[in-house]
Amino acid sequence: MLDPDTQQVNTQMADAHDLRSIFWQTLPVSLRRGDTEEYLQELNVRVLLGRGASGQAIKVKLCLATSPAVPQPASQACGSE
Amino acid sequence: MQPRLLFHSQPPKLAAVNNPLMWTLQVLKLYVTKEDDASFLYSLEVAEDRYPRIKEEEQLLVDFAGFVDKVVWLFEQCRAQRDDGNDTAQQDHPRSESAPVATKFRAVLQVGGAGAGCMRLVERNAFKELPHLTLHTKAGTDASLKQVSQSSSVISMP
Repeated sequence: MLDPDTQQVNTQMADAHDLRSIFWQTLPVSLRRGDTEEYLQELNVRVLLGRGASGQAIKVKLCLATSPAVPQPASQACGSE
Repeated sequence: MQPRLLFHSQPPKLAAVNNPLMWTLQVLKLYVTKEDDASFLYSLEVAEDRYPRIKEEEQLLVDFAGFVDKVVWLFEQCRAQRDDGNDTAQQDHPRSESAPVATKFRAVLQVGGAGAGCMRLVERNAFKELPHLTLHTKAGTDASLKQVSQSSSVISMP
């Protein structure tokens, strides 16, 4: 979420959807357990590409106020759209 | 009275669909499973907005789309190796050091005991092994195993 101190514009991601498989094969993969144990395994490797829920930039508004520092609702904030 | 700085963020619910600040982010998912072991799963998810960190860590020179292409290309090279039977040929007839050795690719999955794994995609030539990518994966949980199992039937094939 928005961090007022750093004024960073963050993004939010939800679960991906519209996933499509762009690679799906059985491959020989060297499986390593620990430092010494290694053996070749046939593993299914699947690569999927999708889109996350829309990345949403959080709009940052910087306002000057001379009144006591009571945050106003967004609809009344100076410069709000 | 000193001016004070106030910050306001636009509530997400107010953002319109056609808001120029909205865009579609891509997500890459990787699942590594085993045919005869339903509990075997190592997965990775890379969202486009997280990619810059990986790009920096791995010292990559491509954008997210190039990264996706390269991941697939590397896995395809590993598959081609198997199809060509290079592994077997080289083990049965080891070459001398002076003989040229074909470049070969392989995938190495390092699994640990803490639910983490590491998929390394390496290229081996006559001189050394060159790591191309190291992808940090997570071991499957009950929820993720179920999700992957269910998704297998609905996700379109390439």
